[in-house]
Amino acid sequence: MHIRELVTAIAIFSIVALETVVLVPSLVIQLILILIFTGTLISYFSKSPLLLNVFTSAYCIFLALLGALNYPAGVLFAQIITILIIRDFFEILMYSEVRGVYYLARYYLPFYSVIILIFYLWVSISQELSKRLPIQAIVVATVGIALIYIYAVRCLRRLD
Amino acid sequence: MTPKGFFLVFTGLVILTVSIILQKWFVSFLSIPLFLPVLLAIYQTPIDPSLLQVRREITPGTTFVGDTIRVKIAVKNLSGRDVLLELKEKLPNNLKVDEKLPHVLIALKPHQDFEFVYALSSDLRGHFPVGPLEVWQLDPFLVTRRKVLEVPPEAVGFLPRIHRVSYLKMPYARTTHMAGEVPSNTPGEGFEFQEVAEAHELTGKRINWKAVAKSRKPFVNTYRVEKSLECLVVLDVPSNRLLGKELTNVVVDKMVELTATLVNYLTKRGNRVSLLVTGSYRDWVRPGFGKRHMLRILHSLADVKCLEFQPLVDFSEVFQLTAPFLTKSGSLIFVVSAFTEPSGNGVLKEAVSRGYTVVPIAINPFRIVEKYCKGEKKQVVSRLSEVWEKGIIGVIGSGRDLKIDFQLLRLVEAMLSAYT
Repeated sequence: MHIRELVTAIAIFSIVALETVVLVPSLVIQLILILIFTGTLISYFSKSPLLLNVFTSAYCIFLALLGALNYPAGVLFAQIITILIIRDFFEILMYSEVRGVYYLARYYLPFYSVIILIFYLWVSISQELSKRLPIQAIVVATVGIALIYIYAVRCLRRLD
Repeated sequence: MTPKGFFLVFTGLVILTVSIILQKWFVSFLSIPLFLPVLLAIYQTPIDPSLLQVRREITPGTTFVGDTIRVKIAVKNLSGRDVLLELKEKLPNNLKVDEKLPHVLIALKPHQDFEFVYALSSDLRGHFPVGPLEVWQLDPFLVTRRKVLEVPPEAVGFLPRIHRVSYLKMPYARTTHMAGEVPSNTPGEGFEFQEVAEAHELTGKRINWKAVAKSRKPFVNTYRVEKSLECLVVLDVPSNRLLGKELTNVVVDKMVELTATLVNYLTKRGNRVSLLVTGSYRDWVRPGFGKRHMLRILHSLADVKCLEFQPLVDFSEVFQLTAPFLTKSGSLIFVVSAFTEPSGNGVLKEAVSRGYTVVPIAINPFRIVEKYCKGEKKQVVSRLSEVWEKGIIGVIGSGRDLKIDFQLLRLVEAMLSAYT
């Protein structure tokens, strides 16, 4: 594995871990979420799209079950969007083909931009989530992911 | 639907079920980002297959075991829209892909082309199919996929290894007591007059009486030895009853390599070579000359394997078929066998009884497999190897007027030990 790919994956993992620690109050649930996410990271390193999808599904279902514990909807939504972005990010990185990454970026970026925009609106009207997570933090996280994405595309261009 | 699409739908449905069971309606909103890509993917229109051009080029189509074959895949998008394609080449397990995986995802702009090359190699000889190459069209979210094209498979051949042999001592040609024949230390008999030479020993054959009368010394006519000789190489494939399937395959591989080396040696020296495969596999290649014929034999040897059921062979019928191609006085028959089963002896017996010059090449199967065994099994195999070496001469020579060329046997052993 190329060192740039490793750096990208570790950066993504750090963002998700930070987001989980900030958003989720319970330490046990934080650990479970980070463990499942570590599974997606391992499946990325083992280049297995199937395993990646299995861990992503497990993560999403676990988040849905957390809904039963009266977790804030905004937190769950933020988490599910993050894991889906990461899943797609890892999936297109696995193919390591620059033109394919550009092509997919043309579809994925507008798609997730729309969903994140809806999330911003939700956060701005939700009093509960605004207390735990200010809007600035979400903007910083989004910019962070975008920068990592650009870094990964640049590294793929050099590899190709 | 791709695995990703399946997991998206499955997860979305589970989330919906959880929200219904728990009566938490906001949880159902979590399924929106999961279902949305699926809905977008359904509205994608498939591309017309005639607007895609896919070619596969294999160079070379045939090579030797251990060498690589390069496969080039070229795709061109003739349509006026962007397409996302997944190319997947189906390969048998025996083939190893050395460079890029033959499974790629590519995005093509209108009238854009794409090429990728991968290398194939194999440790096993034989003919293997490369393909079919499946071309799937994917939607941008990688949720659904449709098969657009399928490029038919092409066969590649991995021929058995050939080892370089500088010299193999051939046996003396068989001579009869008919007048005019002389023994020759090269294969075949001479028919083309060369010169009158002084005889070193008086054998009473081909004496030039005129030259003797003139010089009062013994003179004989010498004849140029024929370069071209009929050679039949018989490969007796052992069955897997003695050593089991895996170890027998190792023995068969070595026997095939040796036969290929022998055929290469004989063909390069201008002999007319034919191949007969008996035992657990049956095949026959008619006699012929030259490089093209040698390749024909190598292709035939590439497919030799140990079958589960040993076909019944009547060797007298076999030799009746080969008789038109083999003259008894000017032919050599090489029998490559382990001589642990009746078939090897059967060929030998029939060939000798019909009066051919036969060279038995006995392969010790136990010595070949010795390094693949461990512990007690290795001890048993090495003991069997010793017993085989002591008994083989008796087995081959029993009841037959057959002269075994020990020098040739030793050369064969040296060849084997060089690569076992």
